[in-house]
Amino acid sequence: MPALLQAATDFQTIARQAGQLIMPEAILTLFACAALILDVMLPRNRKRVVAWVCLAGIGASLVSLGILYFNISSREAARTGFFDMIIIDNYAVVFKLMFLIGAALSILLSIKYLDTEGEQRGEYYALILFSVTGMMFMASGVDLLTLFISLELMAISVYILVGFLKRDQRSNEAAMKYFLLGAFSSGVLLYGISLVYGLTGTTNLAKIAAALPTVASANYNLLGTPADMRYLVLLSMILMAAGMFFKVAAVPFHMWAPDAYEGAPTSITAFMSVAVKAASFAMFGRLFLYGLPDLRGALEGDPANNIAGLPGWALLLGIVAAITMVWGNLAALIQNNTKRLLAYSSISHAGFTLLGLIAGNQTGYTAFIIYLFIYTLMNLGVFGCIIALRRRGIAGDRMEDFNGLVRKAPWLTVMMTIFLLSLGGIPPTAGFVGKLYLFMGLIETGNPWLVRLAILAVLMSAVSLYYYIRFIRAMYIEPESEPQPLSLSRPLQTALAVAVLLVMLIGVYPQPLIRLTQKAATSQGLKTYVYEEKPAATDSTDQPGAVPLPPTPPRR
Amino acid sequence: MPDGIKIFGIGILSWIVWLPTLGALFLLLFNREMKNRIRWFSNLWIGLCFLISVPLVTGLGGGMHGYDKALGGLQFIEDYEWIPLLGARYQLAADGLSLVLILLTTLLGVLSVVCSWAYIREKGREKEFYIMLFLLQTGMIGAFAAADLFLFFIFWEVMLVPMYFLIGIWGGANRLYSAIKFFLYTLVGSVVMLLAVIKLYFIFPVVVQNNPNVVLDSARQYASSSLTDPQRRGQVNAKMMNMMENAILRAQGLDKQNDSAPLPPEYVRSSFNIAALTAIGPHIKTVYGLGLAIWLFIGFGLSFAIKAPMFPFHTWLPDAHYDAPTAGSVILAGVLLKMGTYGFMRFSLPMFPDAANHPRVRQVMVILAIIGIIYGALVAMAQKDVKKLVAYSSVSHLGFIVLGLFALNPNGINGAVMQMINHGISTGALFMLAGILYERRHTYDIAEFGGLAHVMPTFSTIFLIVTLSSLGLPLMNNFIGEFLALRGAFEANVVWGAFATVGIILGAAYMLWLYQRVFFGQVKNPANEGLPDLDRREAWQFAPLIFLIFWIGIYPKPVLDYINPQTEIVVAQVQPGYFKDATPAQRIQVGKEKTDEAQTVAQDQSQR
Repeated sequence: MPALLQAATDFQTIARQAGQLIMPEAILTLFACAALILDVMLPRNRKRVVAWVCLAGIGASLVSLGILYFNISSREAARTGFFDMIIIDNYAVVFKLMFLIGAALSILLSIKYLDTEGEQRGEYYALILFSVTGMMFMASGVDLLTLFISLELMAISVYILVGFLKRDQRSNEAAMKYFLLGAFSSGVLLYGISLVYGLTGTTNLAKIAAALPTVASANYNLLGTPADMRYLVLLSMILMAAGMFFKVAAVPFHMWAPDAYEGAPTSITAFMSVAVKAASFAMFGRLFLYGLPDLRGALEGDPANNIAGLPGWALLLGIVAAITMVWGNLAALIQNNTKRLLAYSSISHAGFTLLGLIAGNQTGYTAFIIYLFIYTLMNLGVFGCIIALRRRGIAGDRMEDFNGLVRKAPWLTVMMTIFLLSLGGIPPTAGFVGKLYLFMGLIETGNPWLVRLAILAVLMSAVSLYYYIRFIRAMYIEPESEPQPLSLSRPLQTALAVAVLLVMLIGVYPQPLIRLTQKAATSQGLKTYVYEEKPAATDSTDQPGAVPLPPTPPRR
Repeated sequence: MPDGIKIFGIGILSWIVWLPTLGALFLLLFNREMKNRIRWFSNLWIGLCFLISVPLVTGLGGGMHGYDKALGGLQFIEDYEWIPLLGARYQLAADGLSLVLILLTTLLGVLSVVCSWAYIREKGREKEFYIMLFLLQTGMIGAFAAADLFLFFIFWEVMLVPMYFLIGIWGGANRLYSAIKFFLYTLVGSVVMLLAVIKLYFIFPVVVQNNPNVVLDSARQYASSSLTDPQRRGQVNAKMMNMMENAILRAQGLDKQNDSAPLPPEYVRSSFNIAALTAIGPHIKTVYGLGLAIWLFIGFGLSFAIKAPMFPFHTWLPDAHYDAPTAGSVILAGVLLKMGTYGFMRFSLPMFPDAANHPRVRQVMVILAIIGIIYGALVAMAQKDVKKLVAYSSVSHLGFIVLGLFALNPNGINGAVMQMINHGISTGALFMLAGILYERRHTYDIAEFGGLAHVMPTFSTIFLIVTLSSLGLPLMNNFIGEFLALRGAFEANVVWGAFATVGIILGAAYMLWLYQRVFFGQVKNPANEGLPDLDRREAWQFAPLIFLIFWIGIYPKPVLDYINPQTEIVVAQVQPGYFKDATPAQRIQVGKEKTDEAQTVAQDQSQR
């Protein structure tokens, strides 16, 4: 009998927690199911009602997220639930906010677009909600199981969405490619997860973090026999990282991105490039900062080395970030299809975002989150402008489609200009604040290699301006090549106006966003790495090179 | 002591900075087809923008005085909280250097708008054109007036975008290439500077905590009114000092505005205040070693060298000038190039004095400047095109400015700043004149002209005055600047001065040759025969410039009075011993030692 009683109280606890901790997700799921049912009942020409229902669902979810946020910030502590499988801390809340904003804007962008494509169907919006549910669990999962299941929930919904234009061959091809490579990468990730589970005997990230130092130390005594587990630890870390690199589209695991982005419906490209990427990064951060903090390893010039004698993920991420930024930017230079170009640009932005994780300090984590937040807004804005160009008979995704846009739609052009400059990191737009924080994180460490990485990053952001300027050139300077006028829908205009206002507001007055993200970056359990302090005060020798120097700035 | 000038409760510097943007916003409301109204509105508005900058000198009555030269230092301070989590504040202030450059900017702003009256009627898209000019104006004035490095950087980058559009939309044949080249070149420089800014931001609290008292001493010296005038020695600009103390106390975790109570722990310790960052300049070496100071110097200097532009980084300039519309060229030559040299004087020299004074660094800078002077002049001589010739002459003139700055003595730096203003006036005028030629004939090709003195007498006279000014005829503005800069160069090292003087001779050669080819002789090309002379608007727009040319040339003291205090402070920062040995004889001695030192270094290098 006591066992049964125990089970009953457990159930009660779970039920109570479910009411509180997963309320935003629960609301989304309910609304998604309602949308599916509603879709069947509505006549063909009224399907867009589903979109508004889903938007209402997102709104309700936002409200409950707000309540949850005040709940945890008044207690000043994170809350865990479901036997420590999920956690609600500032980190989770900020990411969830990001996903909800991204999803809401994407839905607004989609309504007219789907009409034009002739694919206005309710399950589209339901699938977006389901994938957002997955994303939200990715941000708050602290258990390998939760994380993996929610990742798959998100991924499968998005596979379908990519192939949503079922009469379009490119869309089908993109979905197939995305699905196959996505499934493969999930497998790789799962292999890494299984190794970690085998080594530590738990799927809980906090317990894994606690167990790893012993496992990773040389001469770990397993079953009484001396054995060196370090390489296995390293292998599992690399496999997990590879899986995540696939999801965030970092070079060399980026091949799917240009094809999938080009083929997918533009509204889904927008959704994928921001929300899916942000969710993958949220999970990336959870996995590595929460679960594998001691595998960070050391860069040359750092004091501590966590896996004795072996490099860790700081080095891996550093190399991947560097080649991602370089390759993404260089490949974008020669693209002529705007969706493909923005795919490469979004690859390079993934490289930039990784810099925040690599820095490993408070500023770096703030940068990581703030950059994703800003990136969500500005990239959605850019895709919104591309969607605005879609009209009967014109795909709107060639560079020439932008020619002379300023005469046709001056306000749209101005908004597009602001988004592009923001992507390039020109003040006073939000993108500058994001980039500034990334560089600050790297420079604060004082590590010579990280400073070199920062120099590479600033140069690459200068390169990126070259292809963003190509849009601006086409819009303002080239003569008009297509006389057909635009027809902008009200929801699209609203979405763009909201995005552009936020981008400018954050650019001019970033204080509130910085405060919010800084809280998220100081969430409990995110381990920061302190670098050796400078030889302050005592050392007054005049030797040049007494301190790690920043590397040679490039000359032309 | 002036309380600053306020209009409707808003400080005057804010007015000067944001009034052009306000004008741009108003322009948005106009219908793009109301071309004449747009034009009239813009001309009147830019005039207003100039008028509102005049009280900086004259004061506004009612106890609101202009810049107090006796007090010196930063004045008209506006200081508001902006992003506390970053330590960035909205701080505007002007010292003598900023003040003259702001006035130059507002004046050239008026001229650039007025001189495009006819040009823009031909090219079209008036509304966007004037919006871009107004935004550019805000960016430039803001960069001169910012007292917060973060704010400065934002204005610094914002300038690029309208200039890109000005060249790209309203420019000449090759405008797309030139515009993107200009944009990317300057962008690379400024992103590298961003890294240096961030590094400086992070070392600021460490340097202060290392020894707060010496930093406060440096701050006091930086805020002092004069170092040479015995009556004013020891007098300190209290408001400026207060601003610096705020930042320095913050770095120690104390809140000055709150009775030096400890700051809340989450508050950032660092600051972007330019004056406070300058105060730690001499101490970076003690805490971090010379190496870091040199790297920071390079980080800032690369950006300024590209903007100025100095010799190896100058290639964007001729293209940008050639393809820019007249208004763009005037602004580009008159103000944008000064951003680079202003940056050297405001940041590179006083913030990293140990690096700037390091013999090898200094030698590299000076050699690049001298190469710029001679190379720019030689290439100018070879040009077949009026505008390109003037553009290359800018490279040469900017070389003089950098040379004067790195002479690191009062004469050299005073001369450099004078030259910044003079180059703005003379070259601005030359570009306007070239623009008038282009409006008449749609070409800049020198071979197309000849004998214009017969058909356009007024034009020829004005062109002659400006030409003579540009080549440095005594009693005209450029003479003063070049003379002072060269005097400084000779004082520092005779060899530098000797090489630089060659540039003046070459300058006279290419300018006079240009004048001869365009204006003298008979009218051979029939297209030139019926050219109309200047109309009233075209003639009168040169009046302020010609007035300034002669005024500065004959009586430069009023301008020098504004510049000199700032110059002295920079020199004291870079060469701490300079004002201690006051007699001229000793000063020459110091110069000699420097020469010897430089020569040893040169020998070292040649041996390698």
